[in-house]
This record gives sequence, structure tokens and C-alpha cells, in this order.
Amino acid sequence: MKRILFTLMITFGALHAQAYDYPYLVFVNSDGNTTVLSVETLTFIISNGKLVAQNNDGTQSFSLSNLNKMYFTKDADLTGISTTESTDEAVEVYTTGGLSIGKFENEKTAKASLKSGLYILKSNTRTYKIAVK
Amino acid sequence: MKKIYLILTALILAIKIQAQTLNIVTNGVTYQFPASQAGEMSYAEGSTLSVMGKTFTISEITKMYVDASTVTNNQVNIVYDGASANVFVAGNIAQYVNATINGAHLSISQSNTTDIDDNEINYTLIGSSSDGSLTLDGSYKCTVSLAGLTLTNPNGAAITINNKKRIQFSVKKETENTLTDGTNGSQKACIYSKGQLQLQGNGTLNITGNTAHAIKSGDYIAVKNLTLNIFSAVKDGISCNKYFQMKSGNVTIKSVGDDGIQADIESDDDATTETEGHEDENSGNLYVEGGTLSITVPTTAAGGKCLKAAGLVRIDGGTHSLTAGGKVDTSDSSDPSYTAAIKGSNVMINNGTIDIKVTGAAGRGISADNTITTNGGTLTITNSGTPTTISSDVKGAKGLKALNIALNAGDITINMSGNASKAIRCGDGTQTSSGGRGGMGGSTKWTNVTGTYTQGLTDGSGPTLTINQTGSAYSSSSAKAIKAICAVTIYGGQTEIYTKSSGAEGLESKTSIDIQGGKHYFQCYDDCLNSAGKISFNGGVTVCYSNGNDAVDSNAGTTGAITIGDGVAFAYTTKGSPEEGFDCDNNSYIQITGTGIGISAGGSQGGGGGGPWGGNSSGNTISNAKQGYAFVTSSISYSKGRYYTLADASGNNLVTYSFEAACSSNLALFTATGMTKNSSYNVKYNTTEPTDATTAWHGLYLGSSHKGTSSVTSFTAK
Repeated sequence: MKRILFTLMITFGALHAQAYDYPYLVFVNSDGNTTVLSVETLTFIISNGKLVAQNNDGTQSFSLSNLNKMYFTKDADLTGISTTESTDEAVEVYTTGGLSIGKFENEKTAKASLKSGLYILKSNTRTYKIAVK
Repeated sequence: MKKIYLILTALILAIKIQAQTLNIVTNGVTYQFPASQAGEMSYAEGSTLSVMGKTFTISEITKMYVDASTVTNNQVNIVYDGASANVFVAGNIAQYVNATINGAHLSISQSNTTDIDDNEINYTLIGSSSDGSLTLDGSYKCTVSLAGLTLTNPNGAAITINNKKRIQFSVKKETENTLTDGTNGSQKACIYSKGQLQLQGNGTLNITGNTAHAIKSGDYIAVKNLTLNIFSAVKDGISCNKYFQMKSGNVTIKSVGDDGIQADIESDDDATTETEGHEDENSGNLYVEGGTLSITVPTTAAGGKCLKAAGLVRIDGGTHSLTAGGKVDTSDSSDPSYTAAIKGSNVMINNGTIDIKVTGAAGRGISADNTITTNGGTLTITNSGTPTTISSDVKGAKGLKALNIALNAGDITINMSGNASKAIRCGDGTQTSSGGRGGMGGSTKWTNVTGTYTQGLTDGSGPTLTINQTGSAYSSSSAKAIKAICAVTIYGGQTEIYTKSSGAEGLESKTSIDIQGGKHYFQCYDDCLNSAGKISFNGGVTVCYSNGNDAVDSNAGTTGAITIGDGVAFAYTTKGSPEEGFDCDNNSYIQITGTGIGISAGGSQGGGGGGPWGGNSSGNTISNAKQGYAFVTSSISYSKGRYYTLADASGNNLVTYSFEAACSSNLALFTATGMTKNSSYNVKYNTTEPTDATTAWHGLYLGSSHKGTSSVTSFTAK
């Protein structure tokens, strides 16, 4: 019983740290492309005309002259990104923090390789979110 | 298992959703934008970033990050840390707040002209710096909160607020805050506000003003709740315009160079009297409604006052200790200024406990250009101020000094010990001559007399007034208990006055004295009552005992100089001839216009009754007396510890009286309620004090059935 309680406390201690009300910051370029970053430990450096974002997922650089806007969001159902049916298009997979994981033959192949979580998929025709369970 | 679910549920409920905040740091100032409020944040041409209406020049952004900071709307947090300071501005007001930092010196301007999100901006200051400051500019009200701040600016004011609107200056509960400004600066105060300054909160604020005032406002200042300690100030502890209002709290002010608290009239605006809710008021009034004031004006403060107002000083409550120890300010030789506990155009005390100590030369307890009024409260003045000579004119200390004095109610004690001092001094006029005849009392004449002195109200109620005057004469100026140039009218209340020295009269009026009610006792070395005009006993009970001069002395020199109306007067002197119980230069000047009681005992001028200066028994006739009377010129030796009863032939008690000391009388007036012309009366004594008197007052017993057993004198009434 003690072990169960201990496990529960550890689990919810972790949950506590992860419970953000606005976990994502979305960057929109002037061409309409968006990048979604996790706000956890998110910091920025401005240097040489670039906005360099750093978080636990890695580093993402934005050209300031190409940046249009940014905004916080509660989930990854973001403007310009939609959940749709799977297709056979080739996709590149990103974490919600914007870190590229790799290129896959299609969404089905990607899902088979991914751990549980939210991912952003980008094909030649669209960018969208998937949830791997 | 059930327990596990319960714990699980509790843990889930305990999960705190963290708020996200975008922090943008520019020029050392951190602007904090909650994710929930930030909305779309726009970049423009790679050079600017706009968030919640605040546009940042990207090249000036030194740091940007997201964290879980909690942001309170309308809040600016300022953290002093040695040689630097950090400023955090809430996102919802970022567009209105522009802050610059130079070391730990902050300059903040706010541009809003209305509430933001239904509230004003609140600046909270914490931390410590020995070389820092805050300057606020703006055109709308705001709150400045101190929550544990130690701030010294060696080169200027600690806090300057140029915003000419209402500033709430809140000292947070359970925090101690200390502000110190620099010496020899150009600042007006350690804390300066152009606008209305409301000092409040339940914390402690310590201030030292090293150049001028400790606190200065160009508008009104109100104090509520806080503990305010002003350790020292080169000028005033607190200085303001329009009015000062203390609602509650504890204010201690020491080591000022000028006044403790000063309220002045703003010269740029039209002056007003007190307004409802103090709306648009520019009265120069100083209101003390409650709380505790402890103000000490040191010896170095020339002409310093504890409380000084261009208008009214009104005290409605609280417990206050005021010590005026300043020296005389002779910087204006034509108008020297003396230290005082309270100084105003008018002073009104309605309630509260006020303990005043005056030690400065010629200092005043309370001084008013116009009127001092007491309607209640407990006022104690202990004044030991020594006399000083200004342009050959001796200036003694005063307890109360005003043109008009109305002691309507309250418990008032005045202890004077300085030579040439006056416990109460009122009225004014033109002094046209001086002189007098030895024991006859002074005959200084005053014309163009203005002012009034009243005690009590027409319903017979009144203050309890006790005066102890132990001072002596200095040069040509005598110490006195009450000196009134103007007419004195006593309607009621209870008075006890004691003096100890030659010239120290109990109550002197250069115009007239009219006692209409109350109970009054004078035990004076000099005259108990003295007037250049008439003295009337139209009501009340008055006992006058002088051991060095006349008991009652009128220099009116005309019929009615001393009048026994419906009042009771028992006047005796133990000095012996020529000092009298009733002295009006000619006994025929005495009038009996009512059915009161007049008993006198003492010597006589020239050894007998009558005559302008004695010796003419024909003077012992009172014209048109309303009741019987007699002047007894035979010698009567009154003793202390005996109770003398004036009775009619049937033994009915008219009045019983006794003496504080042995009294040898060879001129005694007897008139009492019920005395009729040609009836016989006698005085007998026994050594048992009456216990059934309806009124017993310092040796006088009225309404008693007491009977004497040993004969003293007898007479037939005229």
C-alpha cells in the first residue's frame, strides 16, 4: 500500500510540474507558416536579426524580419493546423516544441515509430497534429 | 482501497495549474505579460514587438523568456538591491508605464488618464539601497506601497511624486520601512508629493528629512492607521497645503527644525473654509480625528510649533502628547514667533486626550489668532517657559492665548511655573495708560477692546478648569492665572484656580467679569478676581480666598462696581488691611440686584469701611438693595476649622461658611437670600462640618440646617 501511495505522489508531483494553462507559444511567419513551441523553460535570445528560442526540446531560430506574430495557445489545435484523416503523403514529424524528429513514408509509418504524445506533421500539402496513443 | 481513491482525489484537486508569463526585459525593466492576456503579439519589420499595446524596440530587449510568474494586474513591483534595482511591470499597464533605471535610482512615468481595468496603478517597493530613489510622474492617481523598504538617497529625495493627483501611500502590515534623504540638497522633503497624499496601511514608516521637511505635499495629507516615525527634519516633520487630516494611527515626530505638522493654504487656489467631505477644500485646516500624536519640538527650533495651521486646528479624538521646547524666532524683529504646542487661526477641541508640555521661552500651550474653543476632551497643559524680553517688552509664557476664548466644556488643567506667565490670555485693545495705587490693584486702561472670554454655556454646563500658577513676576510683568483684556462671562462649569506670587491674580479682566453660573474657587496670593470694570455675581457659586491681596477687586469706580445678583460670592482675604474681601474703592459702589448671597471678610482700606479710600461710614450704604444687607466693621476673628453660620433671629440657617486659614476681618459684607431690612441676624460657629448641605464648595455650605453654637457677631440689616 505504501508503495502505491509513493508512486501516486511521484506521479502527481510530475503532473504538477507539467500542468500549464497555456503550454504552447505559436510563431507565425509572414508567409503564414507556423511554428509551435512548448513554453516550458522557453527563453529567447535576440541576435543578428534572429530570435533564437530555446527550450527542453531544443533550439529554434526565427528570422525577425520574417516574423509576423506570436501567441500563446492552450493546445496544439492551432490556426493553420488541423486534425484530419490519415493519408499516404510523406511527412516530416516535429515535436510540439518544434524539434524535427524525422521524415517518414506516411503518417501510418510515423505513428508506428513514435512514442505516445502530440506531434506536428508536415506534408507537402498541409501541416497538422496527431496524437499517438 | 477507498483510502487510496480519497488520496488520489485530493492530489488531483491539489494540482495547481501554472500560469505562463512572457517576460520582456528592456533597459533593466521587466514587463510581464500573462499568457491569458497577451493575445497576438506583433512583430513589425524585424525591429519592433508589440504586446498588449506596449511596443518594444527589439534591439533594446535584453532578455525575453516564459516562466510561471504570477502577475497581478495594475501592479508595478520595484525591488531595490544595493546599487541596483529591478522593476516588474504587469502587462495590462505596460503600455502606460515607462521606467528608466540608473543604478538604484528609478524614474517612472505613467501616461494613463483613467483607471485601467477598473483600477489604478499600484507601485510596490521592497528591498534596500543606500544610494537609490524613486521619482514618479504622471497625470492620474496611483498607489505607492511600501512592503519592507530601506531606501537612502544621499543626493536628493528618497521618493518624489510629481503626479498632481491623489496618491495613496500605503505602508504594508507587519513591514518596517525607512526612508532617508540627503543633506544640503535642493529637495523639498524626503518624501515629496505634488498631489494629495494619503498615508495609510498598518505597517511602520520611519523618515529622516536631512535637507528640508520629512514629508511634504503640495496638496492635502491624510493619515490613517500607519505608524509613522519622523526621526528628524531640518524643517517641518509634515508639511502640506490645503488641509491635514489625521484619522487614526500613531505619529511620532522628533527633532524638527521648525514645526511638527504644518497645514497651509495653497496660494495658487482660492481659499475655502471646511467643505463637505473636504471636497476641493483649501482651508489650511488641521484635523485630528483620532490616533496618537507624539510630537516634540526641540530647543533648536526657532518658533517651532507641534501643530500649526493657517486655518483651524480641530481635535476630535485620540491621545496626544505635544511638547513645545523651541526657542523664540526673532528673524522678524517686528513679529517675533514663540514655540507652541498648537497654533492656528482658530483652535477647537471637541474630544480626545491632549497632554501638552511647554518648555520653550515665552512658549504657548495653545495659541490662536482668533478663537480657542473647547467642547470636550481632556486637556492638560504644563508650561514652564521662562520670560523673554523683546524690544523692552516682557513676553511671558501662555497656556492658552487667543483673541477669543470659549471654554464650553472639557476637562482642562493648566499648570504654569514660568515667571510673568499667564495660564490664559485673551482679548486685545489699545493700552492707553498704566498705573494704580499700591494695594488698590493696577489701573491700566484699555480702549478699543476686542475679543471675548466665556466659560460654560447658558444652560449652566461648562468645563472643569483647574489652573495652578506658581510663577512670579518678572520685571514689570506679573504672572497670572487668567488675564483678559476683554469682557469675561462665566456661564457654568467648575473652576479651581491657584496662584502663589505677588501680582498673580486669579482672574483679571480689563473690561468686566460677569459670573452667571457654575462653581468657582480661587485661592490666590494676589487678587482672586480683578477688573478695571465691573464684577457681577449673577449666578453660580464663587469662593475667593486671597492670602496676599483683595479677594475681589473692582476698579470700575462707579455704582455697580461689584454686584451681588442671584449668585453666591464668598470672598475673603487673610492679608489684613488694606486688603478687602470686596474692594471697589467705595462700598456704596456695591449693588445688590438679586437674591443671592454675598459674604466678605478681610481688612479695610484705611482701617474702616466706606469712602473712596476708607474711613467714611456713610459709604457703607447700598442704594436700592433688593434684599437686606449689612457692613460689619467690628473686628471678627475667624479661625480655620470653625463653621460659621449666618442665621436669622429664629435661628434659620441662611448660609454656613468656613475659612482655609485664620482671617481677621474689620470690614465684612453680609447679604443673603431672605435677609430683610431692619431684621436681626447673627453669626455663630461650631466645629462640626455641615453634612446636609445641598451645595458644599470650598468652605461654603448652602441649603444646610447647620447651626452655630458660639456667637461671633450680630447686626441689623439695612
